[in-house]
Amino acid sequence: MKSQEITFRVLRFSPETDKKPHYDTFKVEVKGRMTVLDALENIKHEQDASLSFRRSCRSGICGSCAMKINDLTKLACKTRAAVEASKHGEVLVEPMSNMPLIRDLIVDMGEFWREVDRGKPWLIVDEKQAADLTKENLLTKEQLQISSKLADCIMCGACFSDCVSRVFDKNFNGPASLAKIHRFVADPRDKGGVGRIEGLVTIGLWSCTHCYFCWSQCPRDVRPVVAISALRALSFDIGDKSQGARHVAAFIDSVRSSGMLNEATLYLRTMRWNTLRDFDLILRMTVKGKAPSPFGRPIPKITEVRALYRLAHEVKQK
Amino acid sequence: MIEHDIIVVGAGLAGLRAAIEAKNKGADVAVLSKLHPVRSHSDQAQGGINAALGVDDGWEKHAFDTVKGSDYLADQDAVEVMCRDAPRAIIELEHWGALFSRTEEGRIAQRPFGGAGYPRTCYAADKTGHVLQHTMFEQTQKNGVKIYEEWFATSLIVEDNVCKGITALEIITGQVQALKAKAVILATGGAGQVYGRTTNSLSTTGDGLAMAYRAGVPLEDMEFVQFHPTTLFESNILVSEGARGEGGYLINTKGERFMERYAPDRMELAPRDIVTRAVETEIQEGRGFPGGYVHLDLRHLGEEKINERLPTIRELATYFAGVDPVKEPIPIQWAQHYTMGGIPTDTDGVTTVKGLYAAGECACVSVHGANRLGGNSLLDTIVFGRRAGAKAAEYVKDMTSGSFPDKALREEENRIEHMLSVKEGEKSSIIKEALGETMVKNLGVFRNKQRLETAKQDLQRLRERFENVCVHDPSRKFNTSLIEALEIGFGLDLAEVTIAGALARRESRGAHYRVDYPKRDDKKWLKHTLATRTTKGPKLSYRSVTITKWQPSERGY
Repeated sequence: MKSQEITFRVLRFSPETDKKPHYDTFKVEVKGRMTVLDALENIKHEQDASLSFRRSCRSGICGSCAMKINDLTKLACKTRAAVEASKHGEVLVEPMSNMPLIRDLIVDMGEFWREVDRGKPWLIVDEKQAADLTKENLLTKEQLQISSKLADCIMCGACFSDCVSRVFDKNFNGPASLAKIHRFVADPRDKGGVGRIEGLVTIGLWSCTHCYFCWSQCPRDVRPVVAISALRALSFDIGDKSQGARHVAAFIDSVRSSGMLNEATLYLRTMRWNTLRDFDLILRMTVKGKAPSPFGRPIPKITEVRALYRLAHEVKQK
Repeated sequence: MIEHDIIVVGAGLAGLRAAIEAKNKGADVAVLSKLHPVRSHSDQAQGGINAALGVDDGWEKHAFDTVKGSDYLADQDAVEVMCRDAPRAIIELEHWGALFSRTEEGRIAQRPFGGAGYPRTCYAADKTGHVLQHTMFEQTQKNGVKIYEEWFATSLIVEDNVCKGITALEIITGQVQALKAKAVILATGGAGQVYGRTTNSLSTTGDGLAMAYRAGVPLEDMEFVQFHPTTLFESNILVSEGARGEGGYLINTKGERFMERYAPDRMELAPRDIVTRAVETEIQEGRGFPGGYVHLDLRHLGEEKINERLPTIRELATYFAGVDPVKEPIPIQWAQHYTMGGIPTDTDGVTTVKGLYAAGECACVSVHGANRLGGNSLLDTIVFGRRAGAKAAEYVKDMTSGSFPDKALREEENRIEHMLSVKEGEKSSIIKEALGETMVKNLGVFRNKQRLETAKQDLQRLRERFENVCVHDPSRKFNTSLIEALEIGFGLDLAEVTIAGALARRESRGAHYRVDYPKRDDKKWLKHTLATRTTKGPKLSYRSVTITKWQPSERGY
């Protein structure tokens, strides 16, 4: 079996003796399909017993060992050390982001779980009906397809750790929480109804910037960003007039009427009176000729654009 | 001091189910786990959960299959309780939101499984445990069950045969705490990590079993250890029995479906003990591949079926073995999988100690006897977890709070203080590796007196070495080295009990196969082993098996 020596640079922090984190370097003889978790276990058992990290199933299902490996959050047990080293020259291992550090590669996931809890993460049922245990609900594979896909989530926190929006917006409940909500919304058995959708604006529905890290970093291919889009559409349909929804409405209207994105009307309709807050900036941009004009003529082939809109509408109706 | 009516130790399916039931019965209940609940080993179950839902099926058929599968060591009254309650338990999970796979008509789908005369294994693709564990956790949240997450239970406090609570290490602070309770429910799972080759998670270290044993509770039938026939070569990651349930073949180097020689009727779907022995025999007789494995061939199932029914298997095989089951057969070998023995309980989780209950893999009701059928362990957790929770809630009702011996807390503090203060010595991981090796070599699929004696001697030496174990990390906060050392301490006790039981049992039954006594001996050995801790090691006694409807007979498949 092929074997090579690989350098692991690992973030270290002891809450008892360190004021701030530092990095330790370890060399590990990596064989074949050895994972980053195997290497960490090897370091712990043969080089430095104090190295601390969470782990349990070692097969990518329990979600314990999410950590940053060469800057992206991954499950250590599902990341091959040799592949990482061949791409980056070494394996840099750090704790997840967006959560407070406890020790070495261990973070406090309390924040992550509190965000998940904000979404009533259980099936809402008619208690009387649910108490009748004589027969199951009849449901087809198709009816459960979306929920089943979302229920693959192992709550490892990788999406939360790599979420760019969460860095700036602590009110954003994050991708896993919204995916979990959509798992119930899409379940025909759930009796949460519009109540599930109504409150979403206040917990961060429109905070996601669609960076797609939660899709690319999810070890179970759950695709939270798709769930977020679906929830936004549902919120829009029940008359959401929040800033995020206005942004979408203005975007749709602008392209429908002119075939182009009118950044001035997009801005005005999204921000409304808050535009006044930026009055100074707008004035200076206007003076320098950099402010977009709210007026403009439709593009020549606007009828084709509108035909696309009609088609999209028909597809949605179906 | 922390105090609750009931403390449940372990947050897998049995523990959470017990907690939900106790909470709904009005008890003040808290769950304590060394992991976050969704990280529990129940999450790793793949293939499914049994219940006689089909119109041509019935609990009696399920019970018979279970009893026969157990090689007649299961207590038939307990099996009856489990199999009768199975359909209700499954529908309850479905009503709680569990996403079972469905038939074309929209009903809960069922697949064939080993040792079962009817396709009665309900499943969620090949991630049934994951789906159920998350559903169960959702219900604990809905019901507002208090959870002490990342607390490591270190000892069970029993005085005058009454359970007073536990001591536990709060992992994040490193402080040892007393948790007083009127009742304790142990639901800590099996002891797979005692073996060097196991499908079990690194956290499945038998803590509750050892805590109970140290507190004077006997352990039952610990020599019966299930070895799973199909785990990925080298990594020993589980390849679900569902793979054979869906039609997978076991193939040797000669290209033969060798199960024909061992179980001509049931072929690959014979019970696990029989399939495992077949796999190992093929390898030992030279019809295995170099290194020691055979093939599990799924190619004829086709990509579509594999993707729909066995997506995790495809992913795990591709990732951990570098083999795509759609294109190539999977290299497989046996590994430890399940602890059939455990803390003896009745069908309500009641143990020999007042106020102490047990459920799930750490308990021995016994519904699995000498060999558990696939799909019965998840069922065991939800049926007996619920019953233990209800019984404990009834027990604590109208009961006044007892005393907690302060001495017990001080003793635990001192013990841990001492472990941390050892400056030089052997690492616990080295002892663990040696223990795992001897268990695989000497207490595996084929056992004999000489191997068992070797293991006994090895264990004695390992115990001596453990006296001088060094954690090599003196810090208090989140000390995972300390936890590993405590776990291995537990494991050594459990290995000792397993060896003692296996040495004494001079017959072959279910998963316990003695090459020197290859026949089942109902006259002498149709009985449960009970091992009680003494200063000189485990003292063995025996208890009769409860037989109601099904008289022991020869077991053919």
